Amino acid sequence: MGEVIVITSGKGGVGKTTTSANVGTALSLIGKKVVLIDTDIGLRNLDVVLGLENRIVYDVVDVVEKKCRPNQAMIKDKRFDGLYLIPAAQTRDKNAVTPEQMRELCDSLKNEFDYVIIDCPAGIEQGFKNAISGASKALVVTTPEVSAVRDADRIIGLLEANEIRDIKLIVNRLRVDMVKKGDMMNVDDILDILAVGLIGVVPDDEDIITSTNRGEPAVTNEKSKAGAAYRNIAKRITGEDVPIMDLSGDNAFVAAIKKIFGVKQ
Amino acid sequence: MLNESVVLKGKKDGVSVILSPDMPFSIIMSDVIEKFNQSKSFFSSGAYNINFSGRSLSQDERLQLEKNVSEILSECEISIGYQELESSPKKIFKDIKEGYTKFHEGTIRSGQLLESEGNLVVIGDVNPGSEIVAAGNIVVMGAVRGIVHAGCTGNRDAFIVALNLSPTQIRIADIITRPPDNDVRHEIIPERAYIKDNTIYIDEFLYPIK
Repeated sequence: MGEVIVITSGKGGVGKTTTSANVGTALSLIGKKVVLIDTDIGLRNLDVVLGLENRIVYDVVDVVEKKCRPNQAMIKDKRFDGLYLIPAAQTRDKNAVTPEQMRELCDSLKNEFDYVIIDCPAGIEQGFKNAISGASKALVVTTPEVSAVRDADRIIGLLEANEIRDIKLIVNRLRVDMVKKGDMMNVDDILDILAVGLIGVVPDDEDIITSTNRGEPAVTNEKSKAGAAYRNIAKRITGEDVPIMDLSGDNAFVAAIKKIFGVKQ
Repeated sequence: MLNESVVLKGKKDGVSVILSPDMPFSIIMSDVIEKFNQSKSFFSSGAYNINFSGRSLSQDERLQLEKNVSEILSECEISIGYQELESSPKKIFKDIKEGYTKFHEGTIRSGQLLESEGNLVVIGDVNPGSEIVAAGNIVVMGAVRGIVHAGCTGNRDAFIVALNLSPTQIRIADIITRPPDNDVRHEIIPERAYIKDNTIYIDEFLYPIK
């Protein structure tokens, strides 16, 4: 029996879709069978980020309206076995789907897949309600900004009200140089407010922009720091114990030596 | 009588309801309610078979019919059946040489869907994330970057012409194709897409200079 995980944030532009694409791809890279569902009906993006836009024939609305079978709407990824996408409809709106229909779809998919990952739209209206209805776990994405953290807090409250207890936090787009100077909230400040478990910290990385534009998730790029962070998040989702990456720029060996000699980082 | 949207006929084993295939379902629905209300006195309490025929109905439409009819005839025991239309597929649009044509001026943007029951001429661009669908030919005086579907009711002779044909996907009748993944285009020329041997071909479309 698979797990249904919703990736949400409340605020727009913090990286829900990027996170969905990368976590999904990373899970498939470690041999899991994954289906991604884009629930941002009318403003779909996940297909573009994965480079699968031109393969769409049926979408999630067609599935819930029973115009096609779920398997017909699933697009198999062109690079990775075991990764599938059910795209959102673009010419419809959020009201084309109900929470009950989404729950039914998720329930049928989790028999077949290890992970069903739901990319949630921004906001707390119909689209959000649809996205969370079938989920048993949530990954909340936030950036180190007061506004994004405020919205994440609101979202966590709503998730708890909807009986989703397993909530983990991803801090996205962290800039270590700014944190060091005290110009940006650090991870501890954020955890202090939100009081949920941290599952990963993703550094701000220019590679994300190029990889998004090219339709190739950053996790496939060995050199990308953000990609490495997403690979670690995927491992933690599977239950593996991976320490949170040290983002200070020093490698672990140098850091260990500095520690021995009592050099302050 | 032929112009009526709903016809009720008493039969030995129940009632046959013939629905018009041409009228919108909302009208049919209200006429069904009206007809059953009018002939309510005919139905004493008892069991009846009610058989709908004449048009194909979606699951949702069937549920609506069942709900309304059973509300009106709440005194009776009813069982509802449907007779599927044998030749239900839509008529294939054939007037691609001369016939109904929709002209659209302006850009079709992401999330927009432009449909035509006949041919379609777009004076403007068709952006990624949008969709244009026509039963006949499609001509775009601009760039096609979204999904374009010609001959959607099944006419495989329909074609697509555009000044810049770089779509996300091309569909003609029941055939779907997409550009190759690493499609790098160097020059932009008018092109025409058509079906030959069950495959969509794209040729450059230049007016022959003699």
